[in-house]
Amino acid sequence: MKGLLAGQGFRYVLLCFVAAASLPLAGCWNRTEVNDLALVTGAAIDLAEGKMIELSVQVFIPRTGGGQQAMGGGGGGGGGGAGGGAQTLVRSGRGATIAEAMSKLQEKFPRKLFWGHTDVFIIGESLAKQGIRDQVDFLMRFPQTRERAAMFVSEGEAKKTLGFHPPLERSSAEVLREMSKSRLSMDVDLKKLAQMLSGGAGAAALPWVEMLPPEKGQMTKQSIPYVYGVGVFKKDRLVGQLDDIMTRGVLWVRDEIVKETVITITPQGTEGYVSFNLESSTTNVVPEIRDNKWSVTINIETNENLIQNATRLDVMSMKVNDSLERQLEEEIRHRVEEACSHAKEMGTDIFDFADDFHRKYPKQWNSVKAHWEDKFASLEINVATRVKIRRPGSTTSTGANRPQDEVEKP
Amino acid sequence: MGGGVCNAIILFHLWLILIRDIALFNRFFQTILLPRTPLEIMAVLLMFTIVYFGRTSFEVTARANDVTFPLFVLFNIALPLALTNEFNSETLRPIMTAPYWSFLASSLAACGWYADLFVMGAFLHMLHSSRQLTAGLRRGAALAAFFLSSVLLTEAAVFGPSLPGNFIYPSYSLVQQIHITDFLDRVDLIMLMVWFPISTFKIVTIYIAMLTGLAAFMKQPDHAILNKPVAMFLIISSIVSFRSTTEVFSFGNYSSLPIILVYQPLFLILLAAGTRVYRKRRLLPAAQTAPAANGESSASKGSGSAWKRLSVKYPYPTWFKASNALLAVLFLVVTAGFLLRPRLYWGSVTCAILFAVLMLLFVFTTFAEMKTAED
Repeated sequence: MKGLLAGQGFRYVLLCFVAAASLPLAGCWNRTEVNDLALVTGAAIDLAEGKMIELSVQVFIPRTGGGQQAMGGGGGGGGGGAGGGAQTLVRSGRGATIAEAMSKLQEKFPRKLFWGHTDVFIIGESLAKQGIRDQVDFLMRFPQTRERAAMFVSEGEAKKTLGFHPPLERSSAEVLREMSKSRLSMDVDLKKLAQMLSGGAGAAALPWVEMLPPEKGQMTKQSIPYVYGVGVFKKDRLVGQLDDIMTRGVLWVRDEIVKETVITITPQGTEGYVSFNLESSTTNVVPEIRDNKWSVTINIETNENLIQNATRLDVMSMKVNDSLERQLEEEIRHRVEEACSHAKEMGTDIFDFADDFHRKYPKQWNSVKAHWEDKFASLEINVATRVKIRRPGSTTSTGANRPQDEVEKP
Repeated sequence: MGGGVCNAIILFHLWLILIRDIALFNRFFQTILLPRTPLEIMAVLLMFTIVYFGRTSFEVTARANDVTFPLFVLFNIALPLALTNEFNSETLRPIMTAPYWSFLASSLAACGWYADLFVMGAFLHMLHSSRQLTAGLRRGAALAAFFLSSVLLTEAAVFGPSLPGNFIYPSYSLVQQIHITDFLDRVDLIMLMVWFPISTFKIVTIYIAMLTGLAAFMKQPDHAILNKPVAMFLIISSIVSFRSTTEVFSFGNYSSLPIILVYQPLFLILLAAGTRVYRKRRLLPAAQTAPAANGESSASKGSGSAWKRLSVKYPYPTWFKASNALLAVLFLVVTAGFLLRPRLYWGSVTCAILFAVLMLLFVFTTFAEMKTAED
């Protein structure tokens, strides 16, 4: 001991002591056990009375064993359902801002809320009409939230969308996330929303969520929220909604249409329907300024597969094929033109034509960017479509179930 | 006396660089990873690290860096590939339509950080070949420019031009976007495992440069004697110098350029003039940067590695001139892009693509310089 404390020995002892004391300091303050965390899978932001913000979170309930059933919690104005193996619970908090609402919400949880796994944010209709910029500021600024989270706007209260117990997925947030991934409607994440809000067009669009009514005999909560159309935003305020059909038109213009899209037409001169499945699609938007007249040509080229023939037409005939292609072109053109005209009525350039002009005519764009809304309202939009029917499916004209003499030959 | 004054000015600058880097480093990890850990604790842990490396020579740091730097290069090369599914080429256009002054302003602001290269002056005495040192510095600068350009391009392609300008940590936000199926998601922590040692070694390098300068200033033979007190002083000054992250960023973004403009140009002119005077008076040996008379290395005629064989045909001076030529062409291409834009839409796009290709070639020629400078 005497030797240890003398001269060099003392220095080494001191050094060991300092090192030993320092090692446990690393990360000590931030040590959090996984079972001290409440994983937020989805969040809903609504406008409450007195212009307060109501933040509702759907928290995943971890199961510890096979026989253990988790009871849904019902505190704070948001119910997670009654028994039956609910895997999530919903609670709400109110505040002047989301940040304040979050701190009030934390008081209702024994575990620390963890936002890193929040895949879905839903904004209520009334709050969306008031403006969403402040909410997006929080979501972009807060370090735990991720820019890949999907964004939605809901009909009525957003909180209701979190209370469901879907039969197929673990939570309604997961249902919405999977629907967003399927891209049957617009797929907008936080990053894309921030880009739209800060972009030259000054408009944004978010998938519109409605509640699917439960089937007969099903409990109210055993349903799902589903995506139907888009909500259209001017600057950051909700100004209108486009239904499912018009949303397809929007997707075509934005070149975001996907394979699962089905178009059904009634061919001219016959009864019944023919349905087509989209194989691939390319959209090319060409802006043009000629003699100070601003116009945009939308060139759409799609390849379709015939998936159902509910007519007597001979779909193996090239003449019928050509006719169906022309009619499809007309149908797609009609949808796109309707979507464009609705967007023009609302004064919202959700197709991002502003950026198209900015890329091709930056100098002219700079002169109109301050009043792009007016320019967009007077923009001439031309739609040119070209459709090719690539495959008739696995059967010929008869569909393998119709007598040959019932097929109408061209 | 004059040398002492110059030394003092450089030491002051090194101190400013260090407190800036240490403050940025600590605040980044406090914001992203450890929000509840006190800043002082993180600073103390960093202090132990730099004290550990400051005890020995720079060789230890260089060898440790050799382990992590290839990983860093690999990650930087893989980053644009991993984000291909997030790319939107439309956000990159229009190209070169911003006003000339904004382009110059952004380049000038970055000049201050590039001037950190000055710290390598502390290690000049460690290399016997000035040619190798020159080649090494040029290669480092070229690599840094290439990787920075690559990251900026990826940021613009993924986020667009306006969002990254509003991020505090745009590179971290960029890495968070990597999502190649659910398996390769949330790889930002893995990236941090590589960034952390690279950033630490940068701080250690500047710290050892500072120790070397201080030892020379105080006429001490060994800088290790100053290690602990200087490290403590650095850490304490980095904590008390800034009240908030906003202050650190303001200091880092706006102060670097005026600081270097105050002394570095004059210093380099005086150094060049002084070297000439001393050489005339034959107080210094002749420079070793002059190319060899016959362009061939006596040790590498047709034998040895592929680079040695190549250096017989294309010796160091050839690659040196090629790098300089490429640098000049890069400047011309950028200028041409700005001039062509109003008249020809695809002119600026072509210039931008040419810039990328020439940048890659520049990295290669500086690499070849380094390889052939070993002869």
